[in-house]
Amino acid sequence: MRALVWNGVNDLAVETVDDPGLLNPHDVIVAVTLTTTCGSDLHFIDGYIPGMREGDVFGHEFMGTVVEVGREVEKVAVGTRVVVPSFIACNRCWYCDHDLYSLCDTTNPNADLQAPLLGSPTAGIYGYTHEFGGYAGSHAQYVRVPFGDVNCFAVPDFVTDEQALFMSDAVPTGYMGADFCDIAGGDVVAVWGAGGVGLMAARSALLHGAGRVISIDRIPERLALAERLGAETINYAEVDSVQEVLREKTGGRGPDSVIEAVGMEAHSTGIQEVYDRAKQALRLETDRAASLREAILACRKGGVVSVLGVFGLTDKFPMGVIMNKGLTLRSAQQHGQRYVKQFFDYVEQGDLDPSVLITHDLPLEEGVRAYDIFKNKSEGCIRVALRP
Amino acid sequence: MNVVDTTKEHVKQLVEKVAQKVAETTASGVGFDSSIQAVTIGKPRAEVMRFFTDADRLSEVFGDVAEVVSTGPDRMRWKFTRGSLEWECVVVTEDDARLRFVDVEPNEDTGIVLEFRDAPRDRGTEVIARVSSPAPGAVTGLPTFKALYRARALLMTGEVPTIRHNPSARASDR
Repeated sequence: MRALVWNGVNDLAVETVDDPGLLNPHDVIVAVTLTTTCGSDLHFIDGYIPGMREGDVFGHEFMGTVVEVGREVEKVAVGTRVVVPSFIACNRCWYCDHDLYSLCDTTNPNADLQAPLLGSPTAGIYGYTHEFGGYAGSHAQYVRVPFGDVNCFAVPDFVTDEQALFMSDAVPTGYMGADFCDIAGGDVVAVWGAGGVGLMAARSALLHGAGRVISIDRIPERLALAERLGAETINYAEVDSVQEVLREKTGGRGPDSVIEAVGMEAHSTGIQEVYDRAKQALRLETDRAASLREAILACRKGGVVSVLGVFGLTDKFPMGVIMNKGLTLRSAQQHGQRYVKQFFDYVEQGDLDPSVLITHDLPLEEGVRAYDIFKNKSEGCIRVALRP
Repeated sequence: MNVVDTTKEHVKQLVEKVAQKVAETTASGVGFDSSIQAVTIGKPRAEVMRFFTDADRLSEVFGDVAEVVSTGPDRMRWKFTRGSLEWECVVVTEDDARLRFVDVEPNEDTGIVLEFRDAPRDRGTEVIARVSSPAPGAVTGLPTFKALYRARALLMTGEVPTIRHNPSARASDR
């Protein structure tokens, strides 16, 4: 089959690789209809996150059609159109029993690689480093899905392929971020980052009952889309101080909760940008955590800081601000299996249309160009949908 | 280069070394490759203990480092995958709470002890592995953790997570 592979830092290629096969009795093979670029991929493409090996098929956000099922698969049938959350759950362990699917205790084949880094291993994920399982990713014609009954969600007819695609990761990640905020009716929620996840977090905060959502970014077309989804916006490159604007917008209180949807390669302005880039270049830190620091500083006393961005090792982490302001810090990789069926309802009711994230629709053969456009945010790119 | 520049350069190098050391220490997870490993498995103690007395099951979970075969009642041979090393052990069950895999040679201290405790709040069974030093063959800290993880997966789901025959653009199957 054809697949988009990582051959090294900033070295991608579309190559011919073996087709996946059924390995375990609960496995399913999905023919990928759509798979999409994700900002978290850029961290290993740029070399900030280690753990990829030359030739790895990457990609973790996808939907498609079931073409083969293992002998113990009971609920999923060949021919079913499905969306698959990016983290792999077993639905048998304590974490899955508690809806904490990305923390699944049984699906990481390389748990011994990851446990020393994190203290205990997470679930496996498709196409995202060997520490996270080493599974082949979705930027391919076919992908093997372990525990098909648990991880494949049949897509109703009223949900399009393009809408279902983002229910694999961007929507559940954003929705979980809003869920973390314990939003009470009328709350003000600020969201750093207006990429796919940040935009879905902004929309989700409104679905959770926020009175106002304020999206912060620097890319005009992304801010324009945030406004279409119902958010107010701040272009941080055009204001002297985001903190000042947020204080003004909230009567000095600060947002009731803040969502960080940027991660380790944050852009910022001024001396902080210089500081972070210098330290990152010297490998004295892996993260440019400017947006995280800013979100923590902006949050009102006693509020919630919801962290969705991917981070490695962060320095200058303002623990004193969290402690003294009594903030609650919540974070996770997304527990998609918890939410997917709710998303179908939102789409049917007309409250959610994730397909607005697609700015480019390209064949998989153009995967290298897709990532170039996506990484450089050129041509107004927010997300590229790839068709194998 | 004047004295100020030289001093600056020395300070920079020192900071870099310290930062690198801190990063390496954090990233390597100090102590994880230790002789004591533990997991909690959401199954009753008797079922979990039975699993670890079954040579075929041990072969499944220790597959990377050893094949385990039964050589008699409560007796096993571990054939390690690297080299020609083998280890013959006796399995001793104590108090329905401990399995001791001890060398057949009474004078050898090599062995593995597995302790089993009921986990609180109906969370199953806590399994604590203590590996002797020197370890039996390649059964050291991280391989033991991997085996315990796989045992949990097999007991909970009926399968071991795997990426063998994983599609990739390289010759190796992983």
